[in-house]
Amino acid sequence: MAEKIRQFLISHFLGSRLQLKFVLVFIILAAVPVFILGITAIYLIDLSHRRDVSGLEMSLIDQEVGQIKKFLADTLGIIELRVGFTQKSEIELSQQQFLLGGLLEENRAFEEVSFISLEGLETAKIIRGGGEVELQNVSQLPKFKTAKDGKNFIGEIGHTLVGPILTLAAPVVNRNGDIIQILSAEVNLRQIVTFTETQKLGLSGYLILTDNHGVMIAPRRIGRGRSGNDLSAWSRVKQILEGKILNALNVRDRYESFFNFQPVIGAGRRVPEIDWAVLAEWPVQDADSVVQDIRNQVTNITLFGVLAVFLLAPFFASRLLKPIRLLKEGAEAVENGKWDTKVEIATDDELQELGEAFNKMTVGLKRLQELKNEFVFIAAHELRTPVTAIKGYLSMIREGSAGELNDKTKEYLEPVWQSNERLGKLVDDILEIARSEAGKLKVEVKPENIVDIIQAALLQIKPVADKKKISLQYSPQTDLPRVLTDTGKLTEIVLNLISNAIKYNHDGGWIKIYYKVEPQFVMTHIEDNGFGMSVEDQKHVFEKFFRAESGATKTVQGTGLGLFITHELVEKMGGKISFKSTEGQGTTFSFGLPIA
Amino acid sequence: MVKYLIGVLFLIIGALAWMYFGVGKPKVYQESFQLAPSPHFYGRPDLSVSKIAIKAFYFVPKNRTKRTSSEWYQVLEKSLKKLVNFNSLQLQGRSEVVYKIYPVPIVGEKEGIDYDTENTQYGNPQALLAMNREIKRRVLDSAGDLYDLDFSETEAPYRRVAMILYEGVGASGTDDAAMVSRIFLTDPEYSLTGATIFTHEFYHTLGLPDGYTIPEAVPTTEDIMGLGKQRPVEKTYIQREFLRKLGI
Repeated sequence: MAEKIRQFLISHFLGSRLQLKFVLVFIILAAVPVFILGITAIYLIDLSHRRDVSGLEMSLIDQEVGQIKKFLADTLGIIELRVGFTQKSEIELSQQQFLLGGLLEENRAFEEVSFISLEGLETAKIIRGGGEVELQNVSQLPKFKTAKDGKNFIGEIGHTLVGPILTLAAPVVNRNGDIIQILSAEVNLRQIVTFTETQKLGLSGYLILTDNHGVMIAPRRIGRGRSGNDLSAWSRVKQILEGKILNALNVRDRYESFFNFQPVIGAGRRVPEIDWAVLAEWPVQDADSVVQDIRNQVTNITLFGVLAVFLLAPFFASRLLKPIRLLKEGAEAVENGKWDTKVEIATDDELQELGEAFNKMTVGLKRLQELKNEFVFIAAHELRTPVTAIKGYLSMIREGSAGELNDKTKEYLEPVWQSNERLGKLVDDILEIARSEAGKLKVEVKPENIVDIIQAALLQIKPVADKKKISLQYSPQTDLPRVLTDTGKLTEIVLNLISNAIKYNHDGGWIKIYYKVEPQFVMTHIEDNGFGMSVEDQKHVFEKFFRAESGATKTVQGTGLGLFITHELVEKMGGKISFKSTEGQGTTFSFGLPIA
Repeated sequence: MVKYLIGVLFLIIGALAWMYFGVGKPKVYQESFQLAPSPHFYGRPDLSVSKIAIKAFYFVPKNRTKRTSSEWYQVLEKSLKKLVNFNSLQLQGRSEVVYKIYPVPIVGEKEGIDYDTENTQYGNPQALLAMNREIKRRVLDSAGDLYDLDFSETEAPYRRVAMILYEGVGASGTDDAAMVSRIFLTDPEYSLTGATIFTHEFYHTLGLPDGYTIPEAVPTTEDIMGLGKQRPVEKTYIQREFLRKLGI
């Protein structure tokens, strides 16, 4: 599996630098917009949602503020009594009792009502559900002092067992506007509490109402909070009581609720004139449920988009690079002599035109190669006649057909003979290569006994080895399977390899020839203890005209075509050839021919 | 090039992580607000009143045993229940009040006049002090003749308060005891305010002062310690200033 992943990465990401560049560019160009879109979408949705939440919370708070103001205005309106006479005298006692009874009857919020004289003495008082009450001197109380000054009094809220109660007081005035008495009422705020408790934001959002001291009026209970809790030390209540509007848009408007420990979005504002505080808290989980779903969807889509980019980028890059890869493979084929290589690019663009131009170029190159081969073939062929003629005449001269030669002449004639021999060999090699490249080299394989052929070749080359006192150690095997080979070409291969082993060996060295049978091939190994080859030379050993010219091999003469021809011949016979060499220790050439 | 690819991969992973855990994720701040700690004695934060054990008695001077009320136990218990409810609301459930009523009237060692003395003004505080001393000695002290282990002992950390229904006159309170005349709880004239007066006196045991002038008795506050003493206990309250000094 790991290997597959590695191969996938190599083939799709690391296969080529250009492909990698394309992949990178694709990823950057595709992923960045996906991210920008995703993040922008989330940001805008979030921003819009926050404004919506703020709007809803502030709207509910305003509604609550409106209700409170209306309740107080209505209630104060009831106790702002104006009598129909002009005298500065108090209302008759019986009238006072009657009026108070009526007030209690009319307004269920009144728990207690009383008339107070301008001296501060209660003159009449009725408590809802109560009997006889003791009238008091209330001249020291703020409600009396404020109302006596002609102002309405809104007192402190007391938390009683029947609900929060608010003391209100207002002056009673006659037709001339003179204050003649004070009317005081204890007002139950149950109605406001109930209204506050019924207000909801979403599924679980709620309102909290405090008085001007930060003491909680409503709801009666919420989490660990209850009516009467002093919240004045809470920074949010403090800010609201100072007149600041908290609109749920500030980062600090998302906080862990004191009441139920859950994250909430809070807003709040002060009720004008009476300075109570109204707060809204909407649990984040509820308020953000929809937007969080949308956010998760956008995030998932972005993730899938990015993953898709990652998966598709290599394929797109690969597809884009395919024409280039085809051109590269075509060029390599041409380099290897496959002149009729054609690339098929159907991109309908400049790359397709490039492919067509490449194909035209290969046609031209092929023609050029054919012309060259023809020229070489003709030139070599034409050279062969004079070389053969020279060889014939030189042979006759050396044999004395043209008269006895003195030693000096023999001495001078020897290099001419050697040079002609080399020229002849060169011409033969060039002709063979030209035939091969022109496809005219004919190899006719048939099942043969390799031992006989190699033994004959060894007999042929033994004198050359003897000259350098090199021992040829041959271990023929009688049970070798027959191989598919061309006798003549195999002889040429063996002579090439053994003559190289002799040429690139020290005097008195050795050459071993032995076989190994593989499942499909009979391998022939020609091992010597000669000069060996450097690592760098080994890379070029089968190239045309390559000759190792370092150290001991400098003086060895050759055309540099032998191993090239050997390689060609082995492959044409369906075989394989390889070598191992260590500089200064020797070389082993191994060629295998298919078992018949 | 490979290092650029790895760099881009890391950037993308980082961007994804930021998207998942950063963008659009609400940050929630911690609010440091907490309610005030447990309630304490008026103006004395070192003296907790979060647990109060009321020992309630019906005290009858020895020369007034013939006037002993037959309904004293019921009215006393009723008033105590109202007190517990009122206290729970006012102190927001942070002060637990439990009570035990001594099952039989305590017959005083002295006659009524000895407790009342010649001056019963301002709620007859002399009688309260005398009765409180006698109760401590006779009932709450293990050597007392009326000592009852189950009743008399008070478990820590409860603060012990004696509430005495007095077969006499007056209504007053000190730091650890309060008394009201039995009349306030049984006479129809006080049916509306009897429990309020009982509760009012109890709050003296927590240190709350009167909300009226002395000796004129002109109310200076609207709450149970002042004008509100004249209202049913269900319709009165403790004013904010007093609550703050109780640590609420």
